[in-house]
Amino acid sequence: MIAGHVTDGAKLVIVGIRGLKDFQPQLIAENLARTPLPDGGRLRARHLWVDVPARDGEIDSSGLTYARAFDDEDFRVRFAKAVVDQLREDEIVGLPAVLGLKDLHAWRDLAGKLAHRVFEIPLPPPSVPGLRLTEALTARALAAGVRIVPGVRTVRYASSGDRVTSVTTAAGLGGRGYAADAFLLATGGFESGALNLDSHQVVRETLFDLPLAGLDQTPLIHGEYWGPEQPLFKVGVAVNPKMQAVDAAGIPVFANLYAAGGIIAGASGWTEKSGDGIALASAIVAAAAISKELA
Amino acid sequence: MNSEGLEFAGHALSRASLDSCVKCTICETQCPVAAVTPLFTGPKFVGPQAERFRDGESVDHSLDYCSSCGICTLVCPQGVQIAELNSQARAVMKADHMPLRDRLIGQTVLMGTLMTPVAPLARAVLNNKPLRKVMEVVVGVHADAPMPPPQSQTFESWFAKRATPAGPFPRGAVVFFHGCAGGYFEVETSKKSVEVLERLGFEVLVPKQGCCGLAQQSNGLFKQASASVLKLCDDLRSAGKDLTIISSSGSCTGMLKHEASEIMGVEDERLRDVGTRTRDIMEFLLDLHEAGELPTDFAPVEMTVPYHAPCQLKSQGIGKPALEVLRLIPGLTVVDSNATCCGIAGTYGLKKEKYEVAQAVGKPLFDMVKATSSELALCDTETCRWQIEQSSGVKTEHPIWMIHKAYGLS
Repeated sequence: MIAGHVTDGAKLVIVGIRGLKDFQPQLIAENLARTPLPDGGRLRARHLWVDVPARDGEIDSSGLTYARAFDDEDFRVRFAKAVVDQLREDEIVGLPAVLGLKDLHAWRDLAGKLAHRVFEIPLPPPSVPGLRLTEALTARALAAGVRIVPGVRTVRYASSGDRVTSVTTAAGLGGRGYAADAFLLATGGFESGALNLDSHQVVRETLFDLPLAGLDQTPLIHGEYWGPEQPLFKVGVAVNPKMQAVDAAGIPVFANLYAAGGIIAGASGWTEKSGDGIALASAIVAAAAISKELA
Repeated sequence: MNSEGLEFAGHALSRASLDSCVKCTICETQCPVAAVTPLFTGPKFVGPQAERFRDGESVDHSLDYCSSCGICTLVCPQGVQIAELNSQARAVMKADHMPLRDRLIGQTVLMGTLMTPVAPLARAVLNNKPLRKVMEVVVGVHADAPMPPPQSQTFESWFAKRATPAGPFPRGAVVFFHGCAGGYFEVETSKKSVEVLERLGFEVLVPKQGCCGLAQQSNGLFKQASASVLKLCDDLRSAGKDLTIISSSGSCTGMLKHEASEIMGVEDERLRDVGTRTRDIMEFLLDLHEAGELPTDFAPVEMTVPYHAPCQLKSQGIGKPALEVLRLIPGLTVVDSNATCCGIAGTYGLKKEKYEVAQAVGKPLFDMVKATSSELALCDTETCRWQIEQSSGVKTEHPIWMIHKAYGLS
């Protein structure tokens, strides 16, 4: 995929697939050709179309359907055949990011068949590279013995003294409890329902009813749609350097309750482009603190 | 209480959850049916999207290709009840022209009652290719689809006739819910479940019990299914108040725990009471283990077995308890299939127009099973076991068989 890191004088060809509507090779090629490169210089880019259906009986296929088709060697042979004669010498081939879902070497195999370097360009959701990453991380977690219980909301907790003792999920009509020595709150923000704003402008953290930081900015929502960032989106749970959830005085709410990711106050991931970074960094710090605490 | 069900489905759909859809398409990426056929446009398209246009009439008949496996609801990060919406919309869509076949295959008690007394004959009929071809044409059940294995004795009859177990039962009583399949076809699984529970020191009560209505529900027959599930609640409650209800029928357990209320809108104190007390047997064993109350004096079983967690177990939001309990048995290597679905989805894969789709859905699982063991596979629900066994050729049993063996009971 390093082939997508282009330098002055590079020759690119962006390949569109007729059955895949979400990818516009001409638009991409023309934009690339008119844009000065970050390190200076320019590239040359053109586009071409191929018509290779992902499966019978379907006119428009999603990127995911194409990714599944690229898992199949026979499909890659047919695709390469449709492309290879249209390529010019030394061209780098830009393709939609659908080069295989389960087969992580599909892109390499295709590059071999084309005898050209290739790279992928992301599409609107569902994101195939994201799915590959999710599946790889999930497989690693399962192999490490992590228990994953998907599809159910955590709705209650129980505590004893300064420690959380268990949480309860809304499984079936009866619910199901999970006891643990430490808890890491990674429930997200408003978009996932971890934070809730009611019609009286009261913001709550919905599982532990934790004290929230950022509420002192008023108004929380200003009326300017195109104006600056809404203060509301910086509301969240404050943490100390161990990632324990803390109150306004900086004192941990529970000794064994930590927080990571979008629930943490003070950031707005989509404007700062910081969401994944905060999630990863805070989770690593929290996990290290928990491991040390429980050792 | 709304016993009609259809009225709920037609007019009081789960629209509150529908509005939470942010079109992330995660459900589309995990749908096992849309992955193998363009005949189904996908859970988001026929679910939250099409629902906005439904006003008494359905706008998209590809909805019928949804298998109701429930994976879409399971993976939705916004809590949208996609599968439930689809099941409701299908019930409304089929209400005035319900095929005879779909009415018949929901009659699980009738099937068991008819087949048990003539088990050898029933087996011969179900294994007879020309007769199955006739059945395919007349009834619409595919000639190669897996069929329930007729047994000569029902579980109920075994339970009544066996020597009364001596006990003692220091842990008190539990209620066993066998389900139709566990009563008529998967009799061994029910027996082994009772014997394991008794080995653990529980007195097992088995009240006379009817069908949970799941097969009717999944075919859109909400009125009949609602009546069945409430009758079953009465049956199970008759064994005693506050007792834990344990079942080795993973899908029927899901009906009691959440499907009757979430899909058909059954709101009834009896269902709430029973649903709250119901546990899948492997979930129950895991609970005991976590409380430090499960004896782990298992005999080693030197074996590698593939395990598949069925959709209707996963949708209960309990993870994969069988996997964790089985891993307590020394020598036993359990390999999680990590496959989405076996394709059968209750009665979906039996239907002649769905058979090929269901086989394609299950193919990665069948391949995984064959590659892992030629001897035995494990899975918690009946129709999934029949499907896996038929399509992979590998004998497939409930995980409790392994626990039974490791406790030296077989």
